[in-house]
Amino acid sequence: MTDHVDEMVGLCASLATGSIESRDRQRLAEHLAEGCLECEVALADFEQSALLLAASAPSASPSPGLRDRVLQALALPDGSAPAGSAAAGASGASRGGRPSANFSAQVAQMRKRRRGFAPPAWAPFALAGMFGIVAIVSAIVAMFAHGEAGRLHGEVSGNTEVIAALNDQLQQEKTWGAVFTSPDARSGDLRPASQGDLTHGRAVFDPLSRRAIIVFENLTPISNRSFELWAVIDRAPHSLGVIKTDERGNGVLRVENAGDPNRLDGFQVTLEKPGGSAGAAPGPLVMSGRISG
Amino acid sequence: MTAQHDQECLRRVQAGDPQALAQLYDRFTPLLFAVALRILGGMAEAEEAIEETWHHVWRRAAAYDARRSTVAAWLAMIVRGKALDRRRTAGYRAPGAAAAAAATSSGAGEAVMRLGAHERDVLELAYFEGLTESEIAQRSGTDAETVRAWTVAGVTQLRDLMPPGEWL
Repeated sequence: MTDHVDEMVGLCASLATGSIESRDRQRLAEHLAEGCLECEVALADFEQSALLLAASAPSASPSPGLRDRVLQALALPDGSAPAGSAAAGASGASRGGRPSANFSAQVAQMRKRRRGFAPPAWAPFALAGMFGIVAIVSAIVAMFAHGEAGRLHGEVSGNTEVIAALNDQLQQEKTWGAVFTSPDARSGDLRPASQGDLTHGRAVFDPLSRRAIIVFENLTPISNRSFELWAVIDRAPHSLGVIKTDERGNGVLRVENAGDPNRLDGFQVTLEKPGGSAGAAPGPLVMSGRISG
Repeated sequence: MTAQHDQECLRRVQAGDPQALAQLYDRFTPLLFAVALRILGGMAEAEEAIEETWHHVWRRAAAYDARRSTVAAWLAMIVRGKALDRRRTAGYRAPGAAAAAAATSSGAGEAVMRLGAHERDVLELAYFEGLTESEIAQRSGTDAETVRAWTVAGVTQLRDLMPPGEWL
């Protein structure tokens, strides 16, 4: 992480616990509006920590009549229907009040101002799909114009396959994008086993779908050896397959099922013979890390 | 009940279903009331904060963003804000020390008790007393940078100490 991001992660902690100063709140909103996955994940993590802090308050029960008072009040004219407005002005918008409920609206507004709108992660693929469809339709129209309608059946059938492939690709990206946006997503860093080693990994795990995405840096390929990813479940490693990285050591591994969320402790990477361990015990440890959130 | 079920309930509240709000009330009021009582120190004031909170949830359910936080975290933020506002406007005395002394036997309470003294203090002063970094620094006789470092350490440790699975 850069110093800048380190500082912003600190501000995420202050926001989640409610101690953030107003000037820092504005800076953090601007930073998040630029799009920073690291800070978004950190903020979600820290908000769960704040919830744990809330749950540490000594337990107590309100008077039995409170439930009726609350629910009956909703039937009154001024409380009879939820408002549809998303611009909720919580009373805690004041200093030290609700730490971040209004904050997301602030970030969203900044994003709109910066970019006009905030495209979802799969937007480039949707755009590519649309361009593909437009190009295909244009080609078909051009062929009609040149009296080549006789070839259309074969072309259309081929084009339909292309469109279907693009749609599949779009669907795939949306599915994997949901791992990052899952409200229950857990994450963690994979750190090198040897001191001074520059390898680094970052894992995000969605307990609902059990999908995981692991990003690797500086995991430079070694000739005649393979890197293998393992899920640590109940402290025992379970192979998730061989990791492929480019010549600079960058790579992303998508895992369809990383394991039972109640038993998954984290991930580790080992150095294996070419093609992986093939069921044998794991080789030398390269990096490892726990996931939490 | 799971976080997914909570979100489904909140979606029904957004659609105007009072039964869904009643379900959320039954599930979360013990937690929310404990937070309000910890901040305000009095049963009557805490109950008023709870009433305000659920009224707010009913009217402003559309503001909830499932991509940003869990329902539990969102509700906790609302009740905290309501209770702190009430304490400031009415000039309540902070119940801090007495309430903190009433240790809990819950998993969450144990996790917080396992934090270092500095980390625990800054988190509790921020969350339950609504103090900013500079105010905590002044009270602790240190600087804001140190307070932030303790805050980061505290929430990071809490994250690691979180009980596995559905702990709420």
